[in-house]
Amino acid sequence: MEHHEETTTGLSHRKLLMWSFLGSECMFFGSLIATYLVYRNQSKVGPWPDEIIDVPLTTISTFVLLMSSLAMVLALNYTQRDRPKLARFWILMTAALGSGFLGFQAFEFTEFFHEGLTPRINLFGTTFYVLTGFHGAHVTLGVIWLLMMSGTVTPTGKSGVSLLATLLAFYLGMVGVLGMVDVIPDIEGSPSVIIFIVGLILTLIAGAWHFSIDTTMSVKHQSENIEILGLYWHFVDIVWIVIFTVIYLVSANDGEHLTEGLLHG
Amino acid sequence: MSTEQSGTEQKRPNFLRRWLWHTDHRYLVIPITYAQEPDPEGEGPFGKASTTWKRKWWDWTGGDHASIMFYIVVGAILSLITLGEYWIFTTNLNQTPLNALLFIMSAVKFFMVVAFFMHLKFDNKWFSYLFAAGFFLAIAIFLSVLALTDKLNG
Repeated sequence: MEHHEETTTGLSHRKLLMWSFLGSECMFFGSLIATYLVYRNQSKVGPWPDEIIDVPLTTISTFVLLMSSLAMVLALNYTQRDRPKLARFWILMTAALGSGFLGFQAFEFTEFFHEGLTPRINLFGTTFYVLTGFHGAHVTLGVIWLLMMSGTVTPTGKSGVSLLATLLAFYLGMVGVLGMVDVIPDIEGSPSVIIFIVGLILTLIAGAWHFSIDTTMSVKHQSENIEILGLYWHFVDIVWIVIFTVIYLVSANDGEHLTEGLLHG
Repeated sequence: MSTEQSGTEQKRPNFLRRWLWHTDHRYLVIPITYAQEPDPEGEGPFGKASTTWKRKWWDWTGGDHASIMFYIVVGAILSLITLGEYWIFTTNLNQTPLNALLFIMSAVKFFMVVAFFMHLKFDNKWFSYLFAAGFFLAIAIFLSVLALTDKLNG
């Protein structure tokens, strides 16, 4: 889409490479999803999906990831329009929503672990953790890439310091949230609420400082980099769309008949 | 590049075709110069929407890019489908029609993200072919694994 250096095909070879990579990633995740389905309902011992899967919670985390995709496409749009502050804002918003999704996943994994579902307990545990774990690893890589990219659309100096302060304050707030939902049990209760409120206030102050700094820089030359990052991020989203359907919606009631069979047999 | 730029007034493709097919229909042509590439700045998500009333409604920020509002509408539709999936899940439908509905809704979301957020609808067709190659190979692997383990027969 953005003009790129001249190539033999007339197309951006970096974009060709990313699309080829995403094609291969389809096969990677396709194999993992097929494996999950092959071993579906094959567990000899619990916990089974119907005992632990929380569909409402995962619907919310799916919504968060979808919104991060929207934020990503807005970031690209504003980069192409050469609007650095808005581009930076939406890149950071994408990273924040991606981190939120990871927070949901961390919470879910912790809950499942407490319920007794470990990767070695049964076939459901093995295939579930491998599939969602690899997806989570992809999201984590994407968040790191987003944070690195936010630096490239940020002028150095005062603006960079204020951006770093905003990010640190945001993650302080996230620690508070994780404490409140018991992922970090050591800071549960009112201390985690205080940490969250302090993090939120500091995020607002540092964010306001960051966006008040008048910077004149062009970001249009970063369009292709942001676009390639966006392709990766949207791919992570579409993989989750499939995982959400296969594991959470279609398989959520798996195990009911097995449990009933054990009770009545 | 596009029909409007040729100088002669041509019949616009219908709504469905504009959504499903690439605007300039160059499926197998590798562009030789940048000027021949599909140009999102000129295309917009609804074709040449800038010349119609839609432009005023869809475009918040002006300029020649695909409008912000368009992406927000796509995001809202994706959210509604997700909500619909959850609602269908909570109903007492039989497993087979339930699964079929869920997979259809999932496929719609998948292709909306790929077409609009990943810009495949607006971009050069070769990117679509590359992705489709991997995607259909993945489907083949998926079905082969299920067939080899007799899962396709239940």
